[in-house]
Amino acid sequence: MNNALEIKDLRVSFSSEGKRVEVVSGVSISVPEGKIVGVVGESGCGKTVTALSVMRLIPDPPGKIDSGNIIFDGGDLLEYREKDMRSVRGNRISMIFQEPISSLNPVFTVGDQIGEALRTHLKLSRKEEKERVLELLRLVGIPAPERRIKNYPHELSGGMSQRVMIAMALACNPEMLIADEPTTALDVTIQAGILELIEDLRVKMGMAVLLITHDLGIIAEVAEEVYVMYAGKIAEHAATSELFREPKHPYTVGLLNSIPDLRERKEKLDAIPGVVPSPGTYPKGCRFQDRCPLVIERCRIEEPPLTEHAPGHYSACWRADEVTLEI
Amino acid sequence: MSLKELVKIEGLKKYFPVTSGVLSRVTNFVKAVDGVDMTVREGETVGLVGESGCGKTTLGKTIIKLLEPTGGDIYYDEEKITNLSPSSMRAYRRKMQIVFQDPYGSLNPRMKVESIVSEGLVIHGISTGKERREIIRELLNTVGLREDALSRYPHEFSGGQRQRIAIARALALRPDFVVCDEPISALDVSVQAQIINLFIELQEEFSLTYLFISHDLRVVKHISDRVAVMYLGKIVEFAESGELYKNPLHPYTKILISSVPIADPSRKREPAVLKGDVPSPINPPSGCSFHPRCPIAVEKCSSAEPELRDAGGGHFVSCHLA
Repeated sequence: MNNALEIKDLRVSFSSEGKRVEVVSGVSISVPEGKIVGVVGESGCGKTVTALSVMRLIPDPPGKIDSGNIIFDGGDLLEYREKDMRSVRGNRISMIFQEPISSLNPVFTVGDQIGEALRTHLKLSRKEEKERVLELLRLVGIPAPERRIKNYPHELSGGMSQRVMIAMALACNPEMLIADEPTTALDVTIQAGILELIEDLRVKMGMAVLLITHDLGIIAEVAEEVYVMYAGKIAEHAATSELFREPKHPYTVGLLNSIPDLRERKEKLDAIPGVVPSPGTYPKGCRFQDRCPLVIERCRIEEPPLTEHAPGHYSACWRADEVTLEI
Repeated sequence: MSLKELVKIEGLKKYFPVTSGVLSRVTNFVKAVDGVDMTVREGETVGLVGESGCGKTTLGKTIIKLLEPTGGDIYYDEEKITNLSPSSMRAYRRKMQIVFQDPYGSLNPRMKVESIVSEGLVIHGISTGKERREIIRELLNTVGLREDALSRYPHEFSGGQRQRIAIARALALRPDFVVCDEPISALDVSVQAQIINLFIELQEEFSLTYLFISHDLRVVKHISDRVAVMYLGKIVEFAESGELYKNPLHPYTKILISSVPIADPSRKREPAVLKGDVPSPINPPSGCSFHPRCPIAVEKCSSAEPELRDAGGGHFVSCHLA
């Protein structure tokens, strides 16, 4: 199958107090056409920076994409001129963000903001534009769109604003949607609706989706493939069902076991000890070593590469074959 | 766990005035908590769940009188504390503490950890000098922080560690009752589990009673003995934790539970999607406040308000059809 998007060996660094600190250290992610691929990780693991790199939205300075390729439609986005990038952004690749309320401009109406994407990329008459905006609002399930089109962002609830954001992202029928924690700021009841909407749109429009989240529950629901990120690197990559059944990285196991389950009650949660190391303070060798139950001498000296341990199942762990859900 | 009721509230109300116009006249009220009956037994954890804006934080703050109630009564250890003067309230403040959601906002950035944790001891005049320092040191140990934390400032700590400091502060006065207001939602997944485990360990060690407020139904199920579900300022269901999750009676509870993502890709669920948004607590709908969004509402629901009644075995629900 063809890939809609291919991130190859991406490295991104930020300058902080005169030093360059690498926050994404050689990340490769492929998103096949028409599929939802999940990226899961905790704050500071580099998942948002990876997504922003695809859109070429890393603020430079202080940030800089040091190396790597982002292959989209046969070309490398990192080699595009800013002018050409502008015709990709919001048109062929769109992104939705975590905080819908702060991502919308408070002084323009909903209709204006969705129309902006259309005006920028397509030549439509005012009447056509309005019709397309109404159609988009209907598509994302906003009731009474004729009235909503005149609303300002403060008149919308969180769930409504996220739907408006999605409508904006979809305005030009993008081939690729990047969703960065799209439901984190929303209540569970609203979350279910937004996830269903993203899945629906994927089916209807054949869009590929890169879904970034910290919640393995969401991954289990909608993603077909998943990448687990830890401290700027991919720790594990597999088909979703495989990853949940037979994880091959101790960090993945830790994440899985630290979620309380609705179905059974455990006496004690198996927490991962310690905290995520911050960029710039990564230890030599494996970056998970200080929190790992399986750590051996080798982990402190040599960094484990991401290698294939079963067909399509990659793990960056020296003891990947000994990892089980019960470690 | 005993059956003694440590905290009891009856018909508790908290309204916030809405003002308008140049004269800022009070034109309406936000009914954040609108007639809540609830009991918390000694040594148990009561979970309180609901969507944002349902009034759960306001309820938590009103119970320990950080907010003055508009109506209703609060009993602590069988004493009515609703109308106590601030000075008579002081003795109770020692027994009731709170841990807030945001460990970045709830710790004074200009105070060292030692001053933060010992503030309560100072105010209540408990212990001095060396003895006080010893108490603080022990507390830090209990919540899993190193002693050198004493002379550091909050910004030097991660989110999880800050929440440990906030917990140490809450425990300094040896309270019986702690309101935990979304204490883990600002933390990373792997750290959340550490803090949940800490809460459970501390409960056993100090025989604490918790009111645990969270929007995360998975966490609430894990930690609670009984769970109350709140919607638009009212409790709509209240039952033993196992019973509530296995046999939810209120349509709102059913929807809430079905919308929690399950970390198991082999189980495809059909989440019931809730239509519409939470209505404004200024003008709540007539009758049952959930009826405009309820999938099974009948005519009666829009006119008559259902009572919170015992549906058997201490499982309380307020729905005409349950």
